[in-house]
Amino acid sequence: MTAEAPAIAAPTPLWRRLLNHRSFMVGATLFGAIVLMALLADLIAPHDPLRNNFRYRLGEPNDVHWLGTDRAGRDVLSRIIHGSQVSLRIGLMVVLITGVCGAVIGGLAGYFRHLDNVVMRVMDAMMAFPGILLAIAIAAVLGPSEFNAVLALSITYTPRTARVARAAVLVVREMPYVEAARAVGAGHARILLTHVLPNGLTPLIVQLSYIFAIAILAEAVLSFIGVGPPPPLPTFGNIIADGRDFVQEAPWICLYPGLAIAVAVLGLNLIGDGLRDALDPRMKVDLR
Amino acid sequence: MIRFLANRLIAALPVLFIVSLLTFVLIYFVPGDVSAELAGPGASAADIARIRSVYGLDSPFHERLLGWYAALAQGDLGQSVLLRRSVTEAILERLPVTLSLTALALVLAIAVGVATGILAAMRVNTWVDQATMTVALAGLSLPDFWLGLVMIYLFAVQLGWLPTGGYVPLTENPVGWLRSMAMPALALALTQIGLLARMTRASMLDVLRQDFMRTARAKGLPNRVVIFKHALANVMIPVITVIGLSVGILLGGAIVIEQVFSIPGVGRLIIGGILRRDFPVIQGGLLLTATVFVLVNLAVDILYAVVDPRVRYDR
Repeated sequence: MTAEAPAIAAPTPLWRRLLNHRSFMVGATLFGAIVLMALLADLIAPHDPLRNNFRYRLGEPNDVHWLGTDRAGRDVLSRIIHGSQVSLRIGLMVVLITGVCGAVIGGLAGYFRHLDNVVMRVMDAMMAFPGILLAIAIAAVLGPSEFNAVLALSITYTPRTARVARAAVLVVREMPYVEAARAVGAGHARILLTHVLPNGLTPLIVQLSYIFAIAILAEAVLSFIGVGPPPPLPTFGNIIADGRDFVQEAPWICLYPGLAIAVAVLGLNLIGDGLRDALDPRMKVDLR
Repeated sequence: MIRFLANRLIAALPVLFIVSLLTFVLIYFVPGDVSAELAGPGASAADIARIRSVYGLDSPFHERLLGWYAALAQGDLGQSVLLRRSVTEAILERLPVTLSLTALALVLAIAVGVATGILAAMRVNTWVDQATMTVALAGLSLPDFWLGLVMIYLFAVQLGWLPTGGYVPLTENPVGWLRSMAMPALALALTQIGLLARMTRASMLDVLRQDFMRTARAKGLPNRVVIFKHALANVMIPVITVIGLSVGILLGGAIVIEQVFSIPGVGRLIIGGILRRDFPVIQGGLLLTATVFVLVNLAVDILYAVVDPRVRYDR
């Protein structure tokens, strides 16, 4: 026994709260597996994802091609493994861009109240379009490419992060420490960067993990419609689009990339739930 | 109440205005237009220029903007370049198909989602709760168009229970309509079922620990009355908000699902227009879906005030 117990228990560090959060760990494992698959794609893919082999068109899964082959005889497993690179890259770029743009737009609207009305009405109007339709329209008018897919999805989902950032800033700006900073003469830039940003970041991070999930789903839809990154470069979405006409005779082409999407998205959703619980215990619903 | 309604209506107008402006601007700044495609391969620059002037594509920004609003005021969304007919007509003709698909999915999502959420909350931290919430999260994580393809394979190709696609109008043959809509509506609804189940559960747990719930139990009311009379009215307030957002997601999803099941709705029209750069169709489709969304959320706000009298006095 130590001499004296601390009067107030130290708060559990964030990483420990996350490690003890079961669904966060399940999510991290699932999403981690997809990330690992993307990073090691060149090492673990059993075949060249782009090599045609017309003698094995629409081949059933077997010892050589574990998940079968597509309409050009390309190995579906290898295409999924390499496709995860593109799909995750698009998701990550969308998260970074919407995170920064949303924080800036929402932060300014929440902090400088005279901007609020105009900025948020524009955000409301952008959110009135069904997200996926707006993304398809933008991607289509820009032309199908990986960069344009990122741009279309970022424009579509920035209002959603801006709204979350604004709500967080509205709370933080009324805090006593912001008033104190203003009282000692801190300028707007300093208050925004050293007080508002770090304290308002929590809900934004939670939101971004969900945006990552939504971006992966949306990329698949863009590719399915034919306005995503163009073939032959595989993405989760365009492998499904490619197999669509062969659902009857070769269902494996569509089936497995969809499962890969589901694993990645489920993982991210679980990570989001875990972060929400761990970063903001007040949001956790517990019933005693 | 009348003042509340007027306030909400007035607040919706600037959003609708910005929606129409964004719709116009998006298309205005598109590099390249449909005239080159219309003129066909091998057309001379003069031919293309003539087509541009016929469709008013060479007028300056403010003239085209004014033209857009002048036409909108008359309910005219312009002429589809490729269909060679009025966009308004083409959309109105297909609207019932898309709206009936969206409505069926919405009903499914609300019925299953809310019931599941209440069930999970009442059995919180039991296997029932964990199992339903796991399924709800899985549903939330599946791509809906992919689910549609999987369903086609299972229920149409393998089992032969349902048609692989197509559309039978409700007025012509209700059973055929239901058969053609069952898979698309289910694929569409699954995400929203997951979302609504999670929201309802969280909202229900929040309500269950309120003081008035303890009071209701303490005075000896049967559980059924406590849950369905005291709890449900309060649970529904946040859930109604989510339902309003669901309509937008379902509408967007329906546009994609229509491709999977070859349903001749607004979605097929819009996607066709998008892929062939038929700009009036894209504009009309974007404007229409956003307007539906704004109106639905206006209705949700009003419903909100009906369910919860406190909302009316807020501002």
